[in-house]
Amino acid sequence: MKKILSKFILIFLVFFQFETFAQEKNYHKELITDWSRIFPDQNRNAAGPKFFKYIIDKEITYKDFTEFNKLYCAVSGSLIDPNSEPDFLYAKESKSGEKICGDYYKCCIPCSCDIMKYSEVEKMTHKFLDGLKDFYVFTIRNPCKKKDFPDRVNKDYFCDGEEINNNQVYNLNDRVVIGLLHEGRSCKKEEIDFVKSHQVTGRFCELRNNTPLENLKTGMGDIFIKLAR
Amino acid sequence: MNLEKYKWKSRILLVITPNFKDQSYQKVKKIYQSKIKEFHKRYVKLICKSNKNKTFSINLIGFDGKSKKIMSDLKPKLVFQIIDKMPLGKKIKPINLSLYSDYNPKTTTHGLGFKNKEKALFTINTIKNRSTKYQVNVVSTMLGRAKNHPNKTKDMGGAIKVFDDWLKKYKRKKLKSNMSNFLNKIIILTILIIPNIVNADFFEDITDKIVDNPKRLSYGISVADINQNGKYEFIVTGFGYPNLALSYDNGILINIASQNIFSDESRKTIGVAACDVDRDGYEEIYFLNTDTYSGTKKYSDRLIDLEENKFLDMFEIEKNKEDLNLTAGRSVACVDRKGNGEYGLYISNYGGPTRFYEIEDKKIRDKSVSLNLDKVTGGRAVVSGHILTDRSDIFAANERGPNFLLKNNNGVFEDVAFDYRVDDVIQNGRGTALSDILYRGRLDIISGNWQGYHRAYVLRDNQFKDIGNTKFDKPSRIRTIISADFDNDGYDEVFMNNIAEPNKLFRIIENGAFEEIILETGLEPDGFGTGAAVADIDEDGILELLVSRGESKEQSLTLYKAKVDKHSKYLRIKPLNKFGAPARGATVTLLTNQRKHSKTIDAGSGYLCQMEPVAHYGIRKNEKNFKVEVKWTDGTKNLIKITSLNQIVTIKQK
Repeated sequence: MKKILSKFILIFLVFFQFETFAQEKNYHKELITDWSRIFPDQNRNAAGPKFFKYIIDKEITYKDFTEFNKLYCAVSGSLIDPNSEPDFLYAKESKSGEKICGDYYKCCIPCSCDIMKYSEVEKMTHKFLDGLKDFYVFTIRNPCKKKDFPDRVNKDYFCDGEEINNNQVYNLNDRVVIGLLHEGRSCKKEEIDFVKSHQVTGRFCELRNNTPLENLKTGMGDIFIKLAR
Repeated sequence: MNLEKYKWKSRILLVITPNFKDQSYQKVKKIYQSKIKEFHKRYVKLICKSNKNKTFSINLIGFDGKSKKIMSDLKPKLVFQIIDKMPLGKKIKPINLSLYSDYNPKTTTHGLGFKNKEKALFTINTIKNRSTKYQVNVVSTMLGRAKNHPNKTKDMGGAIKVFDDWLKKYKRKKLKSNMSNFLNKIIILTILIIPNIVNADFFEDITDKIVDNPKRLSYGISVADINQNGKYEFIVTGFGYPNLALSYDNGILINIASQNIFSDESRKTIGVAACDVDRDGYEEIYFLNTDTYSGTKKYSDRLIDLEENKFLDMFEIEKNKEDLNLTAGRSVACVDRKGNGEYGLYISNYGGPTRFYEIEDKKIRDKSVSLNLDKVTGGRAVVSGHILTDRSDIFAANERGPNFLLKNNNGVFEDVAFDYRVDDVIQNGRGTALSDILYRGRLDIISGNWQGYHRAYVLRDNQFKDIGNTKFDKPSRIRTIISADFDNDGYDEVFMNNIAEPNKLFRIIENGAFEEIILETGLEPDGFGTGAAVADIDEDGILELLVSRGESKEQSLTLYKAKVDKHSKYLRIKPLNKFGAPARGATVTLLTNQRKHSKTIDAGSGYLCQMEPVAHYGIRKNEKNFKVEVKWTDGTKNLIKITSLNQIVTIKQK
């Protein structure tokens, strides 16, 4: 009993000291502070790729990387509340066509539908402070050749002429990385069933994905879809 | 000799002696007794046999019953070395020999035993007055011997139960006592190791000093001398309620403003700042009226001047009506942009262009366009002082748009907020104060954000870095922020006035660390705080904190004063500019053996409010060699030596 109490006190003290003396990393605050650096023209429409590029360019650990990537919506470019819960969904892997499951942090539920329908995932490898890591990222096709590039999106963020602007966004196999699929892995059958039967990723998305583009009012409306389709 | 019964239970030191008077035998017994605990620890039992036909010998026999060493004399060290190298097999079930030995016969209590229940009860009763440790040892020994007795009887079972019960009872009692001790230790430790939470009732509520304190909608507060008698008043704005001037007299705060142009109940005043706009040595009062949330408003602002004991609104003079401010606004600050004592007024408007009023050719003009200040934003707070240059710079905290950091380039302003990383675009600015966060002799910026992260900006390498810790930056419904030394300990506190949420107080200790002071008095969890200001209104060397409340619910004013150590000392520095008016925007720096501590002479209007035009310093322990430097609004400096404390020192600009 005495030993247990001693351990309890030790743990309490360790945590307390961290709370007292260590400045806990506040990823959300850091993104807010640097927001005007990420979006100098203050237009963040569909600019998830800008967040991703800003984060991947930092000298950080893999944990930092995943935490930062929970705080913006890859579809809309909105910041997300730090306490938000992700949607479990899948997207098609570009190379194999295989369904890859994982968590997606979104600003609102229509974005989950849009990312499932209009993005594809690719496996990416990156060297962080704590070593090389593999992970899945959401990507969209190079939008720079589009004649109907959405005018509410800052084209300079994405494009250098008809090429992807590598200084502004992350280019992976001539696709634009728009965000991170958290805990990405090949889907099991029951996981696919779960996504398909879920009230958001199943029923709601079916409704949204069958709505004509001009009638889409929720989420980012048609801005992201026009960019990604 | 049959030693089979000891196999796997103990090692044997078998001594064969021709007789028990043999000197070698006596010597062995003596040595064994002197090291008996060591031998027992290694399960070595001494067995002696006399055989007149044999010569003296010592045989060390292992657990397996086999001889390990034959010796002619006993050398404990050698025996222990041999034993300690021996392996311990799974078959070994050693007997605890200590249970059957009397290590200290002199202290032995006789008559104790375990043959039956009665003997056990007698044993416990006999030793009950001995020390607890002794009792535990005896009971444990008796219990062990009874349990392991080779010829255990049925009666011994009764004794075992008695001893077992006694030990269980003892353990329960001990656990309870240990728990209690541990809890006490936890409480003591918790109190000792909480370095960043100081639990004390910091403030004393002295609201009862305010005479006639009805519930009302109050907003901004300024501190100025409205009747030119050399004493400061708290000027409290009213939103559809009269503006007040609370003067201290004979232990009470009483409203002395009765003239309609000042009290002006019909207009809705929220922002207020005072400074000498007309260069007569006395401060005018700018009342910022807002009858709408944003955009165009109905009633303009007032600039109150006192002439022959009568208040007049300078904006009501015909020649000044050209540039009236008819945009909703929040805060107003006095800016001596040219450093010559000619104050202008920065009006932080909401949903319309910022205005900057100055008297030029005896006429009030809006100079915002020519000074690059006419930006449209959601203006909230504005402060002015030596932020970047030797002239009066401006920091404006805005809503729904970036903050402005306006660098004074020879009287014209350039917004450098982005470059200096204080633009904070997606947060909504509120309470703002200039504070020497690192006690390094320069003013940095504290900027609160409405339900956003509060900032403690410190200038490093031409950029402001936010060093606020997680307790300080925690989002809240922030209104006014005040940086001042309330308790005269030589360290500034930061008072955060929240609306419909408890207020907060932090002490800035060394290296920019913010230590939260848990408030009891002054917490106001149900208070609709709308503004606050400090002044030593009763001139006793301790600051009073006046909090105005209202907005969505009428509430009365509250007044607080820190509970100060009776031995504490203070120093108050009151700089006056060349016209004899308070040098708003000047910086006072206290130089001692312990710190270089700058304070601004508040130009207004962190959020709606403005503090007294005095730099108030509490004095630290063992602090000495006091000097004060005043940096005037033109960047020139005066250094004076302080020879005594507990005084207000007035320094006039030459």
